[in-house]
Amino acid sequence: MKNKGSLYRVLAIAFALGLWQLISYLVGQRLLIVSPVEVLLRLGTIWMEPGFWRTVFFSFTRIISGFLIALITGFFLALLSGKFRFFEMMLRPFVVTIKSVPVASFIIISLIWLSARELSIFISFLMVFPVVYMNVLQGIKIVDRKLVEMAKVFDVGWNRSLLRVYMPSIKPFLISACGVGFGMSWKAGVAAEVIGIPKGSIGERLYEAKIYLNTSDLFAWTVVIVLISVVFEKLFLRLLRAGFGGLEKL
Amino acid sequence: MNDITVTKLNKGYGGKPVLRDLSMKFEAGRVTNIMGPSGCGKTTLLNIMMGLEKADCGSVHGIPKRIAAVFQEYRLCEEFSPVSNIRMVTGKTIPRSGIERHLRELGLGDSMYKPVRELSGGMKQRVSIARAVLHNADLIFLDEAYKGLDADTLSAVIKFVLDNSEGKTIIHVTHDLQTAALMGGCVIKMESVRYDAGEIKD
Repeated sequence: MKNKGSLYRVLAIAFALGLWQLISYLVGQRLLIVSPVEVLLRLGTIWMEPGFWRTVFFSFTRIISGFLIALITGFFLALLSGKFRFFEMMLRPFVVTIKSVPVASFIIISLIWLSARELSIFISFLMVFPVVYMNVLQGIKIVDRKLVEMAKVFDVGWNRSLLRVYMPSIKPFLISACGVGFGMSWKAGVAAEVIGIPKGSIGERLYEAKIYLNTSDLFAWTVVIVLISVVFEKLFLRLLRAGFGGLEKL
Repeated sequence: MNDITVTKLNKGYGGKPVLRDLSMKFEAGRVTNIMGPSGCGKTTLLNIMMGLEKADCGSVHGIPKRIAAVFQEYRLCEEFSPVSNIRMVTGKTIPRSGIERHLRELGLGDSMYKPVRELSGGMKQRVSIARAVLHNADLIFLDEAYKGLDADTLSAVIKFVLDNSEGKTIIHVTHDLQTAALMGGCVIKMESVRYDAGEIKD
């Protein structure tokens, strides 16, 4: 069954690549769309260019910082909202605003307040925060009330209650929020870099590729972003699950 | 430790009374068995005494700060092991080895580090009893705590409870005469509040 699933996955990827190759062949203009083969060839050389790893490091550290800050603040503010209804009501307008305002508006407004170098931290934070906050709050709201009563009767401290009563309920929501949030942080963070054009960022490379009509670079950098995002998302989720596993062995 | 007194306690749900002018006294350091038919308000009384529900009127005095309970449902953290569930309430007042010894005593030696969700109903029941007994409490509420235990296990578990609760006040709710007899102490019988066409009769 697992082999069949893997086979379908490989077939789906092969089909998508084949379709891409066919479209690029039919369009026949490298400026509009390059073939997957060309992108693959460009990928083979791009990582050896001077400054490639520095560029990746620049964007990676900023976007991941924004993601982690959002994860921590979203988690703790959701705990406070779960505990105090008033706090939740006070925070609601902010969360709704952040959730519904287009990311481009935030990027342009934030450029007035922040330097382009820090912009992607703030923007990836803004995109991930409501996802983490709302998911964790949902996990808190569906916690087993009978366990909460038990903890109250036994006068269990908040830290032990959090770990053993609330965390099992929060866990699936937090994992799902991290999965969604990770992709969002990269999309929004790179978009911020493309608009803010901080020197030495992936966004700057994408912008230059567009200006110089270098479509194969544009595609190659896009693939690099997707690869980094997917690899680190998987690593992070694995770490998170291991953390929860360790918690359950306490 | 003081005696616990319940004075003129009233509680109803949706206009239907469950407890009406209930008064009783629980002697400190002793076992009191509360017996009565299903629906007569035994669990409601415990919930009020534990602070989980508010009485419509009346008062409860003398409840110590440290209390423990075995609820009708197990109320265990299913993802965690029996040891972890017990450590959650005991903190570091009992060493891990002490908890392990007590769990072995209750026949849970092979299961003490398995997640609770993998245990049978009877095992979960014993874990919840161990959690209440090993908690450093002055008052233990047992709400149908021995329900579902077979005869052999029952006497061993009751022995475990009594041996490890010396000097503690125990309020044991049951409708089974045998478990009340094994627990010893005194018995209070509760009757249902009858509610006929809006008129209350005791």
